[in-house]
Amino acid sequence: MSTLAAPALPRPREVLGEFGIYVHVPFCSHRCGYCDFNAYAGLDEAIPSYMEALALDARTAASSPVPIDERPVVTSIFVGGGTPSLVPAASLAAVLHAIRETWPVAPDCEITCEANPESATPELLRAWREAGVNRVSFGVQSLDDRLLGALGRVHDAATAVSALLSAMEVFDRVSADLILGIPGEDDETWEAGVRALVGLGLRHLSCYGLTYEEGTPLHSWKRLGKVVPVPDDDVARRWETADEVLSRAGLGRYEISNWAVPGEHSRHNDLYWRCGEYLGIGAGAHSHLDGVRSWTVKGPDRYARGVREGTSVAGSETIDAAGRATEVMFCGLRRSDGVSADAFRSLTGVDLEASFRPELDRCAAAGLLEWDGSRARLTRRGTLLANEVLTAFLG
Amino acid sequence: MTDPALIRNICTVAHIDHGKSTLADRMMERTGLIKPGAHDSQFLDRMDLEKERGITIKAAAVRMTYAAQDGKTYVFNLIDTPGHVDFSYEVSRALEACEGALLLVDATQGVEAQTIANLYLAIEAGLDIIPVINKCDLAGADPDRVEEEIYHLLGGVEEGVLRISAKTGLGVDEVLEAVVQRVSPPKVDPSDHHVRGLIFDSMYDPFRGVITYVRMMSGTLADRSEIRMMATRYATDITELGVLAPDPTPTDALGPGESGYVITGIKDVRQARVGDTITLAADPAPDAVPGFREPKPMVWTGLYPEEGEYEELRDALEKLTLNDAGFVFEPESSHALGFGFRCGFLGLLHMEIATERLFREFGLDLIVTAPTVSYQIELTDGSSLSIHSPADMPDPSRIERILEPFVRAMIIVPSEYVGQVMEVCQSKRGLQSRMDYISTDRVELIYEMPLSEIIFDFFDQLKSRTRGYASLDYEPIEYRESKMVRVDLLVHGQPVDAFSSIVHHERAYSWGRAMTHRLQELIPRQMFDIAVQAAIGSKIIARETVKAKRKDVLSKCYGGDVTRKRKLLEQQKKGKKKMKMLGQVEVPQDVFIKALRVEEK
Repeated sequence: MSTLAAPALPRPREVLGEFGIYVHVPFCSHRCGYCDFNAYAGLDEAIPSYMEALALDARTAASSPVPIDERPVVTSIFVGGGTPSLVPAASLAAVLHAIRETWPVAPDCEITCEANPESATPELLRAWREAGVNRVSFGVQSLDDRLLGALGRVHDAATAVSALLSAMEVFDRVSADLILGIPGEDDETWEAGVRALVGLGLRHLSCYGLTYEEGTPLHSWKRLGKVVPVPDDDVARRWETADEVLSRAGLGRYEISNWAVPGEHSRHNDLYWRCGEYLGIGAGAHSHLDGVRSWTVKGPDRYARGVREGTSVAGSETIDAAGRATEVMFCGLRRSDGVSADAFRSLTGVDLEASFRPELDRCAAAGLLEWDGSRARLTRRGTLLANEVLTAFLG
Repeated sequence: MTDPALIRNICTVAHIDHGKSTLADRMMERTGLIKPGAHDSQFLDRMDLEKERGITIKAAAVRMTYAAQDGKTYVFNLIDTPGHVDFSYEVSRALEACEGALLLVDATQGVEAQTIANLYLAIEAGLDIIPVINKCDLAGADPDRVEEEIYHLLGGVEEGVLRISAKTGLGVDEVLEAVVQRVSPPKVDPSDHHVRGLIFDSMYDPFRGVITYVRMMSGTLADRSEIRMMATRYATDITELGVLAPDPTPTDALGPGESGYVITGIKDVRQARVGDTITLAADPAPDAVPGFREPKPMVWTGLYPEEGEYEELRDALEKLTLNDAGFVFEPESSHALGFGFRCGFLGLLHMEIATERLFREFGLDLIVTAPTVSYQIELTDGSSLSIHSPADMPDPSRIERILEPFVRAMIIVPSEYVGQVMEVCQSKRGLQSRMDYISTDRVELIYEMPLSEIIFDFFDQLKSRTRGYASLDYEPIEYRESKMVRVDLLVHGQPVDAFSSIVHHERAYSWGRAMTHRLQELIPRQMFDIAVQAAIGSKIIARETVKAKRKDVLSKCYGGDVTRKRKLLEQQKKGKKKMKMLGQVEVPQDVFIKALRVEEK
C-alpha cells in the first residue's frame, strides 16, 4: 500500500502575517488561593539562572517542537507569569534583547508585560519601557479589599489604583484584569469596581469568572464548605452589567472576557484565538508551530537545564486537518467577530459550510450562534453558553 | 441405616449474631466431626455474601454421631434454618424435618423479634424446645434477665434453661446431652413402607446440578432409585445419595427418620422445590407430606441493565433462579429505562440479597426501580386482577376498590422507646394489636400494617428513632382494602414511567412534592426551562422548575490552554453522550438510582 502524504496544513503565520513569542516567568512572592498556573513561591534563588536560560532559549529556539528554517517576523511578545514584575528589570531586558538579536521583530511589535500592583514600582515600569515593553497588564482582580483578602492577594485596592495611575504615565497601553464571582461579591461592588477602572481612563479590561481548579486551596475550601461559590446566574448577570457599562464607556467586547477601545485589543492574545502560531519559552510554556502544539517541562530548574541540554520540550501533539478545523472554531468563536468563511478556508484549506453545516445550523436554531453564510459568531446569549456551541465543533 | 430411636433431628432458632454457627462448630468438634480450629470460620455459612452479612441464606444439614452418657451412640442431624421471615416458608419446611429446636439467645442482647417469629413457627410445628443462653462468658451478659424473657415467651420451662458459651465451649456437653434427653426421636410408622422424603432445602451446584436435602418421613430411599417429585411430577434417577459429615459422604440408602442429600440429573431448583415430597416412581406413596406451597413473591421491583447488557442480565437472572426457587422474573419495558425485567422476591431482605448478588457475582450495574407489593384490584365490571407494577394500574375510573397485603409486624424494643416506635408505626398506617412486656424493661409490640409501608423505609426509621435497639420481624396476614393511587412524574410534560409509584392517597401530595423536589435537584440545568410535575391521572399535584442554564463558558483560553481546554470539553461531550434522554431532556444515568433511593430526610 502506498502512503500518500497528507496535504500540508496552511501555516497560520503566513495566512495571518503574524507570529508571537510567549515568555513565561513562573516566580511569585506567594501563591494565591485560586491560582493553578505554573508558578512557584520561594524559589527566588533560581531566578538568575532561569532568566539566563530564557535568553538562551530565545537565541537557540531550543523549546521549539520543530526546526525553524526561517525565523518569522515577530509581531507580538507577551511576558506572563507568575509575576514578571518580581524579577529584576535588567534580566527581563536581557531576554527581550536576545529575542531582538536573533529574531526579526516588527517595528510595531506589541510587547506586553504582566505585573502585580504591589511589585510594579515606577522605576521598574520605566526600566521596562527602556527595554521595549509597550503594554502592561495588571492583575488587579478586584477593587474591594475584603474580596482581595478572600482571594489571598497581597495588594489592596489603593495600591492597585496608584500602580495603574503610575503605569498610565509611563505607558500608552495599560490593561487590568478583574475576577468575576469572588465569594462575597455582590452586584454593587462588582459594578463599582468596573466603573472605577473605566473612570481611571483604562482602555482595556479583562473580566474572568472565578474558577475552582482542582488542586488549588480554593477548590478544597469549597469542598470543605468554607467558601460558597457565587451562583452561576449571578455571575452571568454581572458579566452582562460589565458588558453594558464598558460598551457605554466605549470599550467594545472583542472576546468572551475582553473589552477594549477600538484598536487597543491585545494583539498577542488575539493571535491565540485566531489559531495563530507562536513560540513559548520558559517553564511549562506552550508553542504552536507547523501543526504541532507542544509544551515544555514545568520545573524552573528542570527547564533551565533542559534548554542547555536540548531536553526542554515535555510533550507535543500533532494537529491533523480535522483538528485544525476544530481549533479554528474552538478558538475563533471566542472572538466577537467570530470566524469568517474566508478565514476558515485560508487556515484549514477546506470550506466552513462543507465541514460544519449541521453544527452551524443546530447552534443557530438554538439561538446561540449567528450564521449568515459568510461569518459565524456567538450571539450574546450564546457567549455565556459558549461551551454548548464549542462542544458542537469537537470531534 | 440407623435405628430411628437413636436419631435426633434438630435445628437452631436464633437471631443474627447470637452464635448459631459457633455453636454448630463446637458441637461438630465435640462429636469428633471436625478438629478444633480446623475450620477458620463457621462451617455452616457457605456463601461469601452470607458471611459478610452475618446471615445464613441456604440451609444445610450436618450429621454427627454422639456417644451419650447412657452408653448408646446417637445420630444427630443438625438442620440449619434461614433466619429471616422473608424465608418463613423455607423455615417451616426445615422445622418440619426436625423434632427439636435449640432456642439460642445472646445473654448480652436478649430475645429479638426474629427469634420470636421463628420460635412460634417451631412451637406450631410441635418441636421440643431446648432454651439455651449463649455468650454467658461475656462481661455484659445478663442471663437472669434473658432467662426471665425466655420464661415469659415459653410460659415456663420444665427442664431448665442451659447457660453456655459456644465460644469457649462452656456448657456445650450439656447441650448435646439435652438433645438426647429432651428431643423426641422421629415418629416412624413401621407399617408404612412407602417412600416419602421431604425436601427441606435445595441448592444448585454448577458441577453437580441440583442438590436436594431430604428428611425421610417414611420408607427407605436407596441409591440409584428412580424417583418422582410428587408436586412437580418430575421423575429422575438418583445419581448420588449421602449425608453431610460435614463433607458430602455417599451412602447406600437413607432410612426412615434420617436426613441427607440427594443428587439427581435435575438442573433447575424449580423442579425440586422445597416442601415437595420425593417418592419412588415405581411405587409412589399415596399421599405427599402436607404443607407444600408454591413460593409467592411479596415484593416486586424493576431491574434495568446498562445499555447493551440486557442479555447478560437475563442470563444472570436465569442462573439466579436455578439456585433460588423463591425468585421470579418476567420481561418488562419502560420508556425511560428501555428493556428490563420485573422481578419478584419473597421479601425485602431477599430482594437485597438477590440484587447484591447480581452486582457482585455477575458484575452488573443495574437500575433498581422503587419496590412495590402485589395489589389486588377489583374492577367496576366485577372482574379483578393482581398487579405488581405501577404501569399495570388500570384507569382510576375502572377501579371499584384496591386491596393491599397487610402484615403482622413484631417489634421488640427497650421500654423507653415505645413512644417513638408507636409514632413511626402510626405514620406508616399501622394498627396496634398488642403490647407486651417480655421483661421489666423490654416490650414486644404487635402492629398490623401494610407491607408497602414496611418496604418503603420503615426499618430505617425504626432503627434511627430507637438508636438501633429495635428489632423487627413481620409475617403476611391478609389483603385489605386501601385507598391507593398511582402518582406519575412528568419531566418536561412527558410521563417518566420508571418514577411512577402506587401510594396511599393521604400521602400522594407529600410524595409528589418530595419526588419533584428531588428531581429538580438531580436534573442538570439545560438550555430551556424544564417542568417537573407530579400527577394523579391528569391532575397535577406538585410542580418544580429546573431553570434554563444561563452560563456555561470557559472564561479563559490562551495559548497554553488550547489543548487542555479542548480536552476538557471533549470529556464533557463524552459524558453527555452517556446521558439518558427523557424526551428532549438529558439526564445522567444515576438520576434514576438517586431519585428512587429510599431515603427520608
